[in-house]
Amino acid sequence: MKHRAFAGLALALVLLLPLGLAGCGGKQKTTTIRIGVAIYRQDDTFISTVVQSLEQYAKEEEQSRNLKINLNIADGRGSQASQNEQVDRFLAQGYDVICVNLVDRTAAAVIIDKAQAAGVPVIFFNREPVEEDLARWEGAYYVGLKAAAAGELQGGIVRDAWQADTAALDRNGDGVLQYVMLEGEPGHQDALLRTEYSIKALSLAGIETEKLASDTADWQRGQASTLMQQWLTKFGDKIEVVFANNDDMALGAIDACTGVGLTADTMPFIVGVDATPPALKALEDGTLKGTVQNDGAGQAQMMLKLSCALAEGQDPSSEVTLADGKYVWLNYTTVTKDNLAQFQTP
Amino acid sequence: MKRKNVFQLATLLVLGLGVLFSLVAFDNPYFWQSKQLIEVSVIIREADSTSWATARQGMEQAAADLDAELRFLTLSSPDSVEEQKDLLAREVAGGAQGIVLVPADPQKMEQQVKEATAKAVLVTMESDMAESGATACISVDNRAMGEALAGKALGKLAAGDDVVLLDSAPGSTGVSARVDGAEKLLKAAGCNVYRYTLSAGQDLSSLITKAIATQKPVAILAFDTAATEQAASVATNTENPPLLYGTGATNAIIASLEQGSIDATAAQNEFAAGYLAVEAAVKAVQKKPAPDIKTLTYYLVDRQNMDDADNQKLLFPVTR
Repeated sequence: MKHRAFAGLALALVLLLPLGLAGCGGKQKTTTIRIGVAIYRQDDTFISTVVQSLEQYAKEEEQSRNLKINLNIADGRGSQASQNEQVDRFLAQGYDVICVNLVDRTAAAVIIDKAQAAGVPVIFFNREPVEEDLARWEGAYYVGLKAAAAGELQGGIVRDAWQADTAALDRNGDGVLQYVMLEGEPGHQDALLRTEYSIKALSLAGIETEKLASDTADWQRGQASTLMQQWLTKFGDKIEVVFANNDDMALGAIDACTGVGLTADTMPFIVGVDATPPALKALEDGTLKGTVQNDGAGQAQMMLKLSCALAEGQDPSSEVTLADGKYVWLNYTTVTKDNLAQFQTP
Repeated sequence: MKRKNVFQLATLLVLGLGVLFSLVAFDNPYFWQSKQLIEVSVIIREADSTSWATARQGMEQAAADLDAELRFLTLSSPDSVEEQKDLLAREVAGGAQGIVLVPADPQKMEQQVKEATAKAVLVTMESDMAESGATACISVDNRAMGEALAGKALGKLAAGDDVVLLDSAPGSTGVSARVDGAEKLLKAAGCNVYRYTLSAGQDLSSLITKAIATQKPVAILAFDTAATEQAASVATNTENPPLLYGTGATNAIIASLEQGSIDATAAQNEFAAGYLAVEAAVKAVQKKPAPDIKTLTYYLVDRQNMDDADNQKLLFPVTR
């Protein structure tokens, strides 16, 4: 009897074994990559173009790599606290990679430490963290462009126009370029460097400048328009050039000028940065005189390639060119009416 | 005898541990089945997902609450029917169990949707495709919304006034219903109504500029978010801009409302819309009773009532 009981039980266990081994034959390869993307503000025109490019490239990469790429875009709405919560959520939900467009560039260390603890690579983009923070962990990367270069190129547009036809810009004929400066967020590295280097490009060319006014418009069109209205009231046609740290603010300046009846020919020489679609339209209309392309599509492509490499456990340098093992640098390009056609979507 | 018992016990123990180990160690589907996420793909008709930010939050919340994995897909060019058809087929082939679709053109997509619903659950937003097999439609009463927007505009219009209606998504039966509703009411009130329809490949901004320049209307009505944003942008740069009544509650629209370039907007609770759409899809996949959805409520928001508590929640939902 006991012998039969033993035999019966043993047989049952042997029959159960295949059930367990059904899941064997190797763990199924992961076919879905989940990327959390935390952006500082989705209503920032340039950032929304980066997001659009990310979504389009994700579809292309899916086809070429034969896998699924699930993007989750979280809008920080200008709050670092909200963004930190979004990052926490991505990590808790087991995302493979997180991409972060910081609200506050000094907040990178907190995010890097969390990502490191979770073992999830983090790619910062467009807003460069402090170098020491990025160095905290080998799994932290940055994709972007060098801010000073944008300022140099923007200043170069004004310099070239001044040298080509000084009388057209020097309205009062005093040989001095009077300008106003619309700045991005206070303390933002890109705002500081673009402001500094745009004027430096003129001074290096021996052009004397006079700052009539400068103030922050937080990268936003509406705020820039309000500021420009005030400056037009105060300075009138003394304003010869308007520098804007980004296109949204340049367009705000144009809105203000249009609002008081100025035309493309009578408004100041206005320049921006980013080469967003609305800016390219303004360039075509002649109200914007120049901008500097911030390669949003290029950033999106590099972020995606880096993300896929990291998620699949590959060496990231096999997909992108890394400087110092961490940085993927892209280049700005000057855009004026002369080369506008290259940047317009057919 | 005792030795034999020990041997038998040891054998049973080894076999038992072996079964337990194989169940746990190799991701056995029988053991882990309850952890499988339901795959839901969302295919919108726009190329820019900015206007979907709030709805997407609702969708993500629903996905988190209901153990679903969300894929959010935009088009390369807005309202591209061919691309939507390709994406739909690709997602179904890729194993999507549920699909939330904002159809660019329900009539042209009828066959593809029927094929898709044979393999996956499909829920639409904005336009109804129940006749093609869609499980549910999450939308406002589009015709009623159009009528309400026209009714709001009539508060500042008189018989004989010229009014432009922007038919910015002619393929979308939902948006067209809004335009139809508004057109009927405005004509009945004696207004001269001009319907400007966006054709394939045409730039929306150019259409709006042409409409304003040609008709010099007293008012323009826009019936989706993209058209409303574009109309506000064009109107800002126009001398003596027309009254503008639109649809949606994106940040750009809210800013325009505050600045006075939009007189009123018809908005729905985007977060709820997104949540309900994913919930309906997931419940249908699980063969559970669907949420009791009638049509969504819409709200007419203007500068006078935009600070009301309910409208503030609508315009500025709590973000995560």
